[in-house]
Amino acid sequence: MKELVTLDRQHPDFMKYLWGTFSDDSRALPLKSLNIRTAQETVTFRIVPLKELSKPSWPVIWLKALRPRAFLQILIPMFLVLCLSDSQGLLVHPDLPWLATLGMLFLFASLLFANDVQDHLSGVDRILPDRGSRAIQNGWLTASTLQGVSTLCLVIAALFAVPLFFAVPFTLMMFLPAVLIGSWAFYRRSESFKDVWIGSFALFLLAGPLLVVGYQTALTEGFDLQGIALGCLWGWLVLFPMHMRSLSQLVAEGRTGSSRTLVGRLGFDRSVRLIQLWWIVGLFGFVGYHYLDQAPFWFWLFLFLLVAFSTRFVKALRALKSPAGSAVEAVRKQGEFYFHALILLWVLEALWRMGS
Amino acid sequence: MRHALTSSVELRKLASTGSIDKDTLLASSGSDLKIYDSHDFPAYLPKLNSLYDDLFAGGKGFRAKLIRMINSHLGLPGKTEQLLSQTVEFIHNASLLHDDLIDRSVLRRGKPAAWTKYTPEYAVLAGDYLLARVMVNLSGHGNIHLVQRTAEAISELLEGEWLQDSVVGDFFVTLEQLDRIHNLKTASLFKWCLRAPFIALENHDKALHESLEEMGTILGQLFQRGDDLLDYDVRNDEGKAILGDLKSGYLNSFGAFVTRGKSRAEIDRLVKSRDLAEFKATLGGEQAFETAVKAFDAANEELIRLYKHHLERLPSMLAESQRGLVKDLEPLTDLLYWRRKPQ
Repeated sequence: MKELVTLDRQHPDFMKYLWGTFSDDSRALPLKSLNIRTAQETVTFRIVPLKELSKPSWPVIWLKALRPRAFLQILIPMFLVLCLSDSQGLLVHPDLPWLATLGMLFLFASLLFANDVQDHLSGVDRILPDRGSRAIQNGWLTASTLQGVSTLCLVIAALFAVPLFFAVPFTLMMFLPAVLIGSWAFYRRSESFKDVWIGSFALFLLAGPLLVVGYQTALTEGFDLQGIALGCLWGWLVLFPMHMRSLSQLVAEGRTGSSRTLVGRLGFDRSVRLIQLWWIVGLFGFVGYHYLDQAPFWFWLFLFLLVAFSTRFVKALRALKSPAGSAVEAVRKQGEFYFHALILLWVLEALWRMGS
Repeated sequence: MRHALTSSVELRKLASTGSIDKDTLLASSGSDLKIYDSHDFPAYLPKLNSLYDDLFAGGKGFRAKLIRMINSHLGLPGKTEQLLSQTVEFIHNASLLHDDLIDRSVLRRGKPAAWTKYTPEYAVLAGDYLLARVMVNLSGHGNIHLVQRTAEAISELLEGEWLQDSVVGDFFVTLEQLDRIHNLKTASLFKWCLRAPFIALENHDKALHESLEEMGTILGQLFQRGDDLLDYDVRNDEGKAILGDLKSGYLNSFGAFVTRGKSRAEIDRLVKSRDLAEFKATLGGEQAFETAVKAFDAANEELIRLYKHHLERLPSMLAESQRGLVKDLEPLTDLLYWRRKPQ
């Protein structure tokens, strides 16, 4: 083990160690803690000289820090809106889609990085091992670097947004509520917005209706009922893996005292029922949306198979005995698989529609 | 019962004059600590005192000795030391009464478990009664911080018990998941032992308590991991039943360590081993087993280094007269993980 240093929040260098600015040639890697009382107030760092640090190549580091899978949360609905707008022949200008898409991608990257930094500074990532990209915890990047890149991404996102707002001023109407909710979510001092029950609703709005309707407005200078329905459905579905993750982290989150997520408030048994209900309602919404959208025959065939197979997931979910063992993680992965299968089916249907 | 009435401070004085061996506190048998007295409990409750006589007869009283060892540097009055020792042993023994019933273990310290000898109902009630007496005794002492910390320790212990029971039969549980359970179940009382004497002394220094909390967590985990190795007959001088945990449907920390990265089929074969020889053969032979033990030891050496790091920070938080405690706390990792007696 390398040199160990323990500092409390009152220590003048505490924040320098957390930000990673205490030294040019060493990294301070915070040790994982099982102790809620100390993790947030006192941190033990392992000081590792940079030359002794095992790091993947820079592209891999940044790829991991970016968490490409997380981008599905915005790429999929934007793609669906693009397909919808194209099929309706409503795209007003060829430059608007790429301006809006790049702006959103940079904004999302900025939020992801800022979120990792926030979790690192608050100590949550020392208790919940699955939180974030672990790029800071592994010493690949410092919190300071990540914060800088987050700000840079935000500036670039703004550069893309400005011409868009000039071209389609109405987009601002959609953007402002998102900024308000986003600001509330990311600048909460006491705890992450993900750790309060209303955070689920904020995420539903941000990742669902506001994103979809805002993007649709940027592309078509307006929005319609189908856009709102798509946004609501997506917002609902995207919360499903989040609830599953909260369930698998229920013990750890409960011990941090941050179990004020919807799942944390409901507790294990009722959360199992909530997630089951969430999946079933999501499926009904999915069927309803595509019924109104007159999806093709093959789509219904695959959807039927998916629903039939997903009963295995529901059964496994209902059979869960504990949030502490291995089963909850296995069920989470199973749930994510069906979620991704559902999304893949939606994307294929959209592609098929574009092709035909 | 001379030592039962002699506080650790007096013992420490005897040690300094050479009248008593310096390691008496930790190495002494449990019999010199008067934890249980039948006169403290109502005589009109049938079988209660017989049950407690059996329960308290065989224990090593390690936690009480730890309290005594710590207090030998703090100088709490003998009565307070007795209260703390009694408190931790009452909680520990209450948890054993409940644990044996939950696990359906028929033996405790080589004798019939209380629930088999006195009925499950009496075993549950006797455990509850011990916990109630803890609160009666502590609240009578009047230190509200001590009452609160003790109530927290009991809560953590019960949460750990609850979660552990919920993973019985789960052979795919990870070491990290088990650590969380052990941190609640096993480490809660170690943390309490380290902190309670300072709370009784009205020393509420935050930095000190955070360090002690971390050290208690590490000691608890090391104790649990050392204990779990006994199940695989590693350093098993106590003669603990081999593969007892596994046969009871519980994959302990060493089991979780050796099954890391293995497929479900491989884990299935391992946990179905009828004896240790078969377990080792399934793992890849004696050599593979030894390698796994060494790797497990190496992982725990890291924990021991972390413990020593916290120990090094301790003197700056202690009064001059209390600093001898650091030297006494140092060999605990040897005792708890390596199961070596103090030199």
